Amino acid sequence: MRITTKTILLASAVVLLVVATGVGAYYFLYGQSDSTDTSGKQAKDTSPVNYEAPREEQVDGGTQIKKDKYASDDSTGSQSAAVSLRFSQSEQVGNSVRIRTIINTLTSNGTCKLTVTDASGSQVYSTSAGVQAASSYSTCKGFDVPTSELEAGVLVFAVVFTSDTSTASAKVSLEVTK
Amino acid sequence: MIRSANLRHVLRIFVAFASLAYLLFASGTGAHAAPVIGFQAGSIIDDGTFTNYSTMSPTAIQNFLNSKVPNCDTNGQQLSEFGGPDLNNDGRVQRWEWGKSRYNQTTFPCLKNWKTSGGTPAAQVIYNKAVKYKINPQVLIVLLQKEQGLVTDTWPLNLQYKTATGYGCPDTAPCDSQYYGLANQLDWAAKMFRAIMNDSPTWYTPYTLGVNRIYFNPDLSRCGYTNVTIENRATQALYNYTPYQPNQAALNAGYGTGNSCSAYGNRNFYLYFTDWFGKPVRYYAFKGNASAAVYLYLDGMKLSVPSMSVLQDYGFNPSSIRVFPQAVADGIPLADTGAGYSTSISYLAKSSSDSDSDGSSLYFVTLGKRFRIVDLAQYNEFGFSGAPIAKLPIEYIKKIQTGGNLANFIGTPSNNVFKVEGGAKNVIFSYSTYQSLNSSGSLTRMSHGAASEIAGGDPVVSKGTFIRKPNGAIAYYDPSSGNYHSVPNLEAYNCWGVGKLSTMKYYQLARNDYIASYTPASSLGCYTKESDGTTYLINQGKRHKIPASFGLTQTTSHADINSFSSNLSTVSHDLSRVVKSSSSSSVWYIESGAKRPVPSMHNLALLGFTGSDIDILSSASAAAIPTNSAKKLGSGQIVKTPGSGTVWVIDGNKRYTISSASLLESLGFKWKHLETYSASFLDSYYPVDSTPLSRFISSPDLNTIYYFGPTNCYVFDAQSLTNYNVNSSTVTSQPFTTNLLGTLFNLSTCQPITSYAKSTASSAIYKVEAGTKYAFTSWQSFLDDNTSLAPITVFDPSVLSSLSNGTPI
Repeated sequence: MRITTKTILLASAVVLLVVATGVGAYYFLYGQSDSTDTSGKQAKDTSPVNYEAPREEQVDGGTQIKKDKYASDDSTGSQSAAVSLRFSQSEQVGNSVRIRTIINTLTSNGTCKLTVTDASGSQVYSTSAGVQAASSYSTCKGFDVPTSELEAGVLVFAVVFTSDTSTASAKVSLEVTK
Repeated sequence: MIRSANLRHVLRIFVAFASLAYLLFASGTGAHAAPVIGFQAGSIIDDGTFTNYSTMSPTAIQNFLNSKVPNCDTNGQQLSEFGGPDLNNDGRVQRWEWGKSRYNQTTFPCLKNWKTSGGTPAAQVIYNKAVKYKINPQVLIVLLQKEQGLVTDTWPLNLQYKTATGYGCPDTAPCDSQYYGLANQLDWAAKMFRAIMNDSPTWYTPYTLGVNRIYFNPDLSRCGYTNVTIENRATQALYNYTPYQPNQAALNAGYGTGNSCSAYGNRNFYLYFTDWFGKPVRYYAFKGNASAAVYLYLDGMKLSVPSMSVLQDYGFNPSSIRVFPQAVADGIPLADTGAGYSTSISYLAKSSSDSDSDGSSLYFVTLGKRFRIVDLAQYNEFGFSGAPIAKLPIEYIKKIQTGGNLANFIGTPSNNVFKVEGGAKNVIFSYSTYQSLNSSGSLTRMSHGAASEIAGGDPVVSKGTFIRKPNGAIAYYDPSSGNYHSVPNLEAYNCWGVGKLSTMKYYQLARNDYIASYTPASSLGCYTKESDGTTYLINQGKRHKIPASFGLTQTTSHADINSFSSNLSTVSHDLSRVVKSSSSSSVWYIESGAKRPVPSMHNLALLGFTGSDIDILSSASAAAIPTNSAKKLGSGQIVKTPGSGTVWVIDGNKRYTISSASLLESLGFKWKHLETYSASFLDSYYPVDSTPLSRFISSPDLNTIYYFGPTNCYVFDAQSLTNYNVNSSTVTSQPFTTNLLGTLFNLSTCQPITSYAKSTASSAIYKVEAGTKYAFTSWQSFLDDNTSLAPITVFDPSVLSSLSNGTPI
């Protein structure tokens, strides 16, 4: 079919009219409905809220989450992996060494023990802390080690998590300055 | 007239068509994965947006949920996208059949229709939790979508509601049932967010503000991590909720799948929030990847950033600048001047309208805070007239932390403090001065860059002060005259003792422009010269008076410098003619406006000085005395030239030939003191005087005459002068005096000349009387005549041969 300029202009005008009318109608339908708020509290919209239908990729993104979690063969969620521990922070901040950990299981039971050793393997510091469950993991309730308790130089910071059912550990080397 | 309800029904149908048109025309490209733009790992969402819990009412939330699921498949009538058994054998597998077989569930209420057992809609639950914990409900909505896809799901499972926010669901184990339920899940999530926003000491977080090790995927060792500097609490909360960051493949994939090391939680949070509620970070710095121009993004518009220092003063770290494709950066509209906004940020800022809620206040922005300018008088004191003022949205102005009123005393990171007045900042060095001037203690801290917006003035000091700029320039500032005097070089710096002596302490400025630019009234040297001509050498913060005879002429120094110099302690004695540097063993002799090296201690002694006569100067002060490299030799120094056997003796600025070794020794010279110098040097500075040296030497007053014989020295008395036909005119042309020879010879050992004499050339003994010598013919005749046994004077042959011969005795 031969497409003329007139056809394009006409089609554009129709599309523009349809979209503009749709937007206006949408506002008419939904824009005044805050008056039906049953909370009795008036909230102010301070950001642009997109009330359009979700894009296909957004729907697909949600479907993919559902598929991965509930429709795949291994989606029963019953499988368990070995408990592990990793460092999320290990750095000197001023006069303190900040050690933060992530334990890939959800528990509030157990103990974390931090041991600091020097290059010769001699222990220079040790302390323990409890465990706190978070959204999808747990974390040791610590550690902030005062550098006054440590010696300057490269030290090894080792954390061991122990509970009734599992244990996990990790270590990291860190140069401590005073 | 059409009734409103009917009209709405018609319009709903129309909207459906319009939406279809939109999908066909507008979102036709949506199937293509567009890379995520603007994601900044350290700042995913800002604190203000994260905690703005009044963004949506329950109705607005409900409307939003409605918009995202136009049609629910509550009964699972659509074909199953996950397969499943054909339970009713109708030849097709519907969703209810998959749900029944997999989870024993056949109805699937959408989020928009979901209610608690008590009948509270999901929208109201979301709202309630948002308000309870003061978390933006949009954050919770996005959480429901990115964790379970609940917002867009047309047939959600009960399990999705149970674990709606993913709280209590570790990566490696089943979810914990104690957290089950939509309301429970929202409560836990919002509670956690609030605890982190409050920096609760009882809520331990693996990620904190600052540098954090954030992995890309639960497969830690394979996928690795990067260190991420978390900039704000909200981003900290997101990472503590979902402890992974998206890798580049995930970002490149938009909403799609990256690679086996991708994690999507925080990426999807950013994407859904951006698409549904606008930029999660309302204010950020950005640039295009093809341009160096940096902009500040403020709620949909951009303002140019004139410098990195002003950007940092607005609270943005340069490392947080987001880099966009150039087209994206260019596509963000410049702030609309027609709407009252400025197109550039600056240190002075105000809202775009004088009728805004802050009362048209004008602020000075620095160190991430805004300081209100109190009044026009202060505005003028700071010299802000003509300075650019950025007109910004009031919401952004309010977002900048307030620092209160701008104080008239300011401090910089280098701990320089200033009193601002007269359009300039005037640096204060002394804490006591500061205290006396600023009894209220009100001080505004600001960055160096911000302080540079205020013109530099003069130091607030009560007496002359040395000031050092970062470029190394040092000046002496005299507050009484307002003059600056430069310290032009290291010599002047050191001889005045600047920086070393407490009295010469200098004050370091962090910036060159912390004082006004100046033209030095004079330049400091290591000398001062009073108006009466008295001249001093400045040495280590003390002054030595310089005798005029040294010839060290100087120009009269500036009155400021003379005034300052008068406060220096004066060394009790005038500057010695012989000096040395503390850093060198060289000794110098000052004459004719220059110092000359004294080559040996023997020469020093010949010049009439001992070691205790030497003034020791700092190297700088010594260097300030002009140098004449010609060695200074003392009178009496015996010298020779290389390759020649001629020996001379120095006297003053001449040298005399010593005709024989005998004469040299007779005059008391020692061979060990013979020094060799080049002929050119000696000819230049000690030319030869052809006057022959005599063994007859007079005292300066010509009253005493000595004879330096080959074996001894002798002193004449009046009778012997007559006898030997010697008078004072005989020795007046001699270059030497006994003063000189006295340094070589102990004149007190010289024996009186007797009338009995002999020559070294003969064994004959004479009696000398009245200019005539009489030879003794025998020992007996000599003994008969010399009844007192007077010693025989031994002369060189020329002395006796010049006498006439008398009748032998």
